[in-house]
Amino acid sequence: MFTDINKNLIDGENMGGISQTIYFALHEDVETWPAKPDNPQTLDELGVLTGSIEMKAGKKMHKLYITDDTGELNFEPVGEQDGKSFVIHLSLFHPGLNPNVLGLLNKVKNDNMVFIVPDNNGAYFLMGDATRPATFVSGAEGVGTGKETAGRRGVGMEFVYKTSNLYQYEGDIPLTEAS
Amino acid sequence: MNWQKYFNLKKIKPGIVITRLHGPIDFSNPNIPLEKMIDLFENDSPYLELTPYGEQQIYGTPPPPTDKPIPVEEGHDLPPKEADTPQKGDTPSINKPKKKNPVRANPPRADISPHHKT
Repeated sequence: MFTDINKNLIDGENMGGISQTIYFALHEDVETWPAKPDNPQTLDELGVLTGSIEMKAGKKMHKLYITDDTGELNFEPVGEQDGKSFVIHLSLFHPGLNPNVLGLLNKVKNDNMVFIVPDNNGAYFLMGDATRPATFVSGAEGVGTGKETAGRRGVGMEFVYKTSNLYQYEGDIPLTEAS
Repeated sequence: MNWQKYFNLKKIKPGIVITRLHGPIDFSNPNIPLEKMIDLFENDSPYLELTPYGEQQIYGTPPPPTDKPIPVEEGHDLPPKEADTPQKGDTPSINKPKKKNPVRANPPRADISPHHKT
């Protein structure tokens, strides 16, 4: 399975941060999840999910705008010896205190979510699987009006997702209702 | 060329899906290039299935033989249809689900250029 791992930055690209648009849905609205690697033969196969997320009838994923340079995915290794896994942290800031984002915060604070997060290099990461959702943990970057007139008014959020392994998501994102 | 003659949309209502291969695709648009749809299908898009017409035109699969009704007199059991009795070496029906990665080197794909008359 092991192979040499070179620098391998295609066209020299390796921009940090995440896309200004991420995608979200309720965990309970997912019908089918992409599959984890089954008997992977290469390291590449071990690092990618197979298939696309599919929603229940009448459900779809939705977009969330993020202020540039405020979104981050952080993959945190956790656990004791022989018990290692990962916690994926998604932190973001959405500008403004419009009713729709306040309503979103009201809904997600105690609910189970799924996110698809594109980074700035075309890689997608799925937060959520058949057994574990992404959950809200805090208002990262602050939630409110800001203190100064030159400050930033809006909603910061942080979500976490616990996973045994890290994978890229190479499937589709359904922005139209499933039938 | 209307791709909807070659593919049925399944599992979603016609609308936008962000595909990894070709970015956002609006499946309510009948004018999506057929080559793009074939590419999606051959890369296991969960939303596309071939129509019989599409299977014939794209992959050159011959149409299935038509079943002629067998006349039966009252009181007699229906004889088994040939299709109900599996025979070794039967050609699979075109309506069976396609295998993953259905790109076939043999037979070659039928010409589906814009000038191909359908």
